[in-house]
Amino acid sequence: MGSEISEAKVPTSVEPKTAITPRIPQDITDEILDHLAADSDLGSLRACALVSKSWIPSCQQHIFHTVDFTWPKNMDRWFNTFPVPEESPAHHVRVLYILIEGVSWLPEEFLEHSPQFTGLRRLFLLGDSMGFRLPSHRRLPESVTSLTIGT
Amino acid sequence: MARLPNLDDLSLREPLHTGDRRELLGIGRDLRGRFGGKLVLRDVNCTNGDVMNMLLEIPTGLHFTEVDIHCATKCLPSVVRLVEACSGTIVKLFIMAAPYSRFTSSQLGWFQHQLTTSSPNAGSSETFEFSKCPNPREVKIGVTVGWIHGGLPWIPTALSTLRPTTSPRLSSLRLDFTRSPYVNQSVESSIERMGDDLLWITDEVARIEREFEGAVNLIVFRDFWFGMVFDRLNVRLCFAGVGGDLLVNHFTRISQILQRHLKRVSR
Repeated sequence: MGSEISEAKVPTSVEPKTAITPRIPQDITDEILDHLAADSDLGSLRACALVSKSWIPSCQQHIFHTVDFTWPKNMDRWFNTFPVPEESPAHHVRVLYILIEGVSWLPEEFLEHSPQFTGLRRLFLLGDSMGFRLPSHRRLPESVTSLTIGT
Repeated sequence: MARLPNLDDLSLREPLHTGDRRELLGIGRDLRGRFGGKLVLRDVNCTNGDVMNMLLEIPTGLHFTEVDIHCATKCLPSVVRLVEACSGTIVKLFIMAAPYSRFTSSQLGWFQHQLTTSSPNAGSSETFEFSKCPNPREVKIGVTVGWIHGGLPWIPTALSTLRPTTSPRLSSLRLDFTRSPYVNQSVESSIERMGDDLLWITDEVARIEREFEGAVNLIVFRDFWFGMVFDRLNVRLCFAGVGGDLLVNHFTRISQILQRHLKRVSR
């Protein structure tokens, strides 16, 4: 019994540390990250994404808010970098520019992966010379609220 | 049937007309949306009959809150059809014609038209009949004075179609005189070049004020670098940070020119 009391009074070396570890509430963290995003400070956002796992979603939300693709030049890079749809940050993308050079149809690479862009709102299909084949729209994300086609 | 059920805004810009128009028509067949936002047509040739038909044939109808169109004068009939199908919508319409000046008419409570003329030389017989527009509420005509070469008879001709019988809700008529920064031409000389057409404009403005029995707010706005505003012919000068005797003399002359012609309206 006595040992129980003494044990209770003497704190372990671990418990106090755990108790006083400072934690910034997520909403405050998000507020800070929002300010970085408002300043278009992508460098800082990338650095913040390395701070903690809990910061990653909020950082990605801003980092991948607007994405520019130039096809056929660099669209492959995205899909090579994020080959697994479930792990792709595509769902963070809200504004997507696709600059299509030399052809007049939407690239199959994008159409195959477009269901990943579940949060897409504004889609820009920009070409340098031709009109577009539009029947491909059937595979565009349904979340799109604004579509621009042209230069 | 392809659907973008949440699609509100649709913007078609150049170079759609350079592609295969059959593909462009795919929009009408395959694109389905809510269309409750803004429609932008920036390709003067994409507002031809095919594209207009394509939009008009959308089964769910057009529910755009704003329509912004640049088109060639030859497309005007089909554009008016679209405008009529979007009643209650803010419509901004730029008509590309001659000469280089801007004609803006704004319709509606919620209706705005902009007509732009873009060929730098000579007057044009092309004009705009407001009687074909569904019940305009506001009309705005913009003139880029640096680009005026010759008269602008189409402006008073268009104004002559504003009648209480066809435009009973008209509440505002605005004339904007601006200067292009890209043309090395004095403002006053450009305005003077309007000559009789300016006089004709003032006559039409006076007629509108008379026939609408004062219910139309008349505004002549001369902006750009000098920020000078004529509001119901009461001149207010706002230098907006621009100073110097040269500029003062510059726009004093302009105001004299305009007032000389517009004086009759205030009588």
